[in-house]
Amino acid sequence: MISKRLQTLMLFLPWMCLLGWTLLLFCTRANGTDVTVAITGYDPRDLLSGHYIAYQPDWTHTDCQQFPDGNCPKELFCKEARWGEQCRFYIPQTDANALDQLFRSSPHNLQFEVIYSYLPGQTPLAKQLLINQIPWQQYLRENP
Amino acid sequence: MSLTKKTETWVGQHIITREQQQQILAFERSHTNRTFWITAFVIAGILIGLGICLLIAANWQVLPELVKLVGDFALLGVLTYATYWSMQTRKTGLRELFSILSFLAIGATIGLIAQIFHLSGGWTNFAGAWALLGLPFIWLSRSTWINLTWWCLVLTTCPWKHVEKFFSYVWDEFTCLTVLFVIGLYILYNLLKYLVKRFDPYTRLPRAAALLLLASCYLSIAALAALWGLWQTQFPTVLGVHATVFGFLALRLYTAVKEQQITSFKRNAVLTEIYIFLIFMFHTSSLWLSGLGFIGGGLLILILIYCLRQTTRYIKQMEIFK
Repeated sequence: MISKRLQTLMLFLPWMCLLGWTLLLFCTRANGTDVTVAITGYDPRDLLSGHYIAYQPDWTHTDCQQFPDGNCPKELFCKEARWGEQCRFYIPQTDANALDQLFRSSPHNLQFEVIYSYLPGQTPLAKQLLINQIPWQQYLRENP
Repeated sequence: MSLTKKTETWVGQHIITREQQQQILAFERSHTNRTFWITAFVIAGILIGLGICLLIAANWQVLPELVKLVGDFALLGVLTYATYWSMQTRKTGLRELFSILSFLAIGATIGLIAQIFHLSGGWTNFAGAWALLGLPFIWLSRSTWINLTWWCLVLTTCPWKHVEKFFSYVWDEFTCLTVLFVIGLYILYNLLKYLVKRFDPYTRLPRAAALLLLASCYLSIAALAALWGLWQTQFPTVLGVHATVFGFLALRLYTAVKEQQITSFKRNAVLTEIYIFLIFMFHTSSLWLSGLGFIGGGLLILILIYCLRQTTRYIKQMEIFK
């Protein structure tokens, strides 16, 4: 028979772990330096997969001088992604189609970038998606 | 052998008195709907969970990140406490309900965190984290549903590419192998059933694994049926699907009658009803595309529960099991 205290601890353990994880992610995002990384569609025919953008960092069009030692830490980005090593940026369902059409209609005139919160040695966290240097929400508002 | 027959034998052997036999039968009759109520609680839990999801989803975009996270953690905390409370007060139905909701809420929380922080991990990472954090519920809840779901999560994290390749090769020769496949499944099913019987009821995980394999026999029949063209509308293929599924279930019902196994008969009768319900659902799938339709779908589930309850009651009264 498990003691009452152990039972309580076991039941609340997932809750505590998840809370700890969230706080860690919050701290990483809040304390990191903002870096802008150019992105390219993982598969141009399917930039939007579901309600997230699947992409890969485009290191040839990224300014590596913004990182502390002037080198792009490629191995740190999207470390947790396994399937085809594609990164994800989640977007609301209602905007998915508009963004998809935008990409399909003029893929060469648009420059997609993601602002990451970067702390040396840790997996950077995506914060914002930029289209031609402005946040994607603003871009969609201005270019309906 | 039915309980009436069993107790009759015991009275004949002077193991129990006639009075005790009546008491046992009365006790069993008063507890007959326990499983049903637990099932009803499970379905109610899933419906409530889905209802909450819909409510949140409808207002998702206007909610700030922090509100989403605080709300989610508050919900998970409340559900976990409710699980703890139901365990302490020994309320079986509520324990089942809150355990399932807490287990589902863990998965939802992982998904929400991944979405808010734009984490790129795929299904394997998600299922692995969920299975790991859900472990305490496996141990404490004793819920078969959670056990089976947990095993499904663990199995999906395994590299199935090679197995998939093998099966895709087999599927190519599908038509010729159908009969052999059904026979093989039937043998496997009985073997597994024997194994489940051999397990101690308190060894939850191996028992759950065996139960999962048992369920997979039914799933395989469904997969087989799907290959016959479940999602197609041509009459001959649809007929093939239904013939496969109903044939298998009829075979199980026949064996249950022959061996006078009321539990097996009940289970397969219920599965037949669920299958009929699924056919109905498939043909009215557009119902589920609106909020109002969702409520209609919920009501349909309640009707199904009512039908299942009536069926199980009727089966218990059947002469063949007396």
